Amino acid sequence: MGVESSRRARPPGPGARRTARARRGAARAVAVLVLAALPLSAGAAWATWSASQAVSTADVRSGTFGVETSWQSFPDLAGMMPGESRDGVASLTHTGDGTWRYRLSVAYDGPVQPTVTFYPRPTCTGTPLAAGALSPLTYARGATTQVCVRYTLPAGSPNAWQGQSAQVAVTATLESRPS
Amino acid sequence: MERLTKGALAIGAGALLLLGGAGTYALWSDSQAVAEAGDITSGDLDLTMGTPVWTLNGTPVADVTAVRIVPGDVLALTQPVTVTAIGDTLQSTLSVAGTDALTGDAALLDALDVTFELDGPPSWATDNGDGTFEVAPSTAAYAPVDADVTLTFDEATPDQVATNAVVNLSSLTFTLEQHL
Repeated sequence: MGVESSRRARPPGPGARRTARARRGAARAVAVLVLAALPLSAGAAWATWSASQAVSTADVRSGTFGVETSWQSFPDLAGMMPGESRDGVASLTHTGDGTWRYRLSVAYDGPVQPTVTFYPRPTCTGTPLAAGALSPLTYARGATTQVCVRYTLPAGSPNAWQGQSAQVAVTATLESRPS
Repeated sequence: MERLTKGALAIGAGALLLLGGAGTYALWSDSQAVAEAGDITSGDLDLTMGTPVWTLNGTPVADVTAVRIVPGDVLALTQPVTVTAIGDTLQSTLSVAGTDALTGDAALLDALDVTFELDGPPSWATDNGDGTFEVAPSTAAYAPVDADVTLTFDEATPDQVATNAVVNLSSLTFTLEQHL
């Protein structure tokens, strides 16, 4: 003890300062190591319990979807007079999966534009179906339905339509719809 | 006594003293059990499955691999799940993991929406609002609850996008995971 006391009483020389700096340096190094070690130990704490089970190993498959159309009775549209109408019946057949509904549209190519009216049934009677509107009924997978298409040359058709013709394309679009 | 004899006696006495000194290390001591309870038991975290039922738009499906889904369809799996979350301070979350890891046709993956719900939900499960459920700790396994995984085929899928396509569900897992 006496020796220790006498050492403390002595003023610090250059060697003592070096030692103190070295000690402070060592303290900093230790602090840095401790700080560096903390995140490592905290990281280890994330190993928590867990349990899991497969939901399913099955494949989910989508279906296919298509339409086939044909004229059941195709109207002869030659030589029509203003105010005259002629009817045709088209068949729409679904191919693929799912239930469905349909829309009908018309496009013209030529100077003459007869009025086209659609009916969601085999006869051109009852409430018509507007172009672009969804059919009132939903049909089963693979089902076939008939639509009646009425071509009318309006009573007020211009003289310029005389002796002219046009291509009138009717398009049926089937859409997948839940039943 | 002769000098030799006196020396031998001194050595013998010294040896006896040393031997006697060795015996003085038997000090007093006492001990008590640290705890009366004895055993310490860890908790349990487990997940077991019952028999699943698939439905298509609410109608049971016998073989899901034979189903061909179309836009607007809702294909649902109802899976009875038994949750065990035993532990005084156990905090855990029940979820369906792997929805981002589904493999298969990209167009069909884009058109499918996968959701997870627990029927009820039961009182021990709190809906976190993000497709996960916080599970309260218990002292025994909970009664089975129906977990519903629903795949909805976007009804706005146009034209013939994602027709005749396949998505594999094997990456989907029910996961019960402890958190801190």
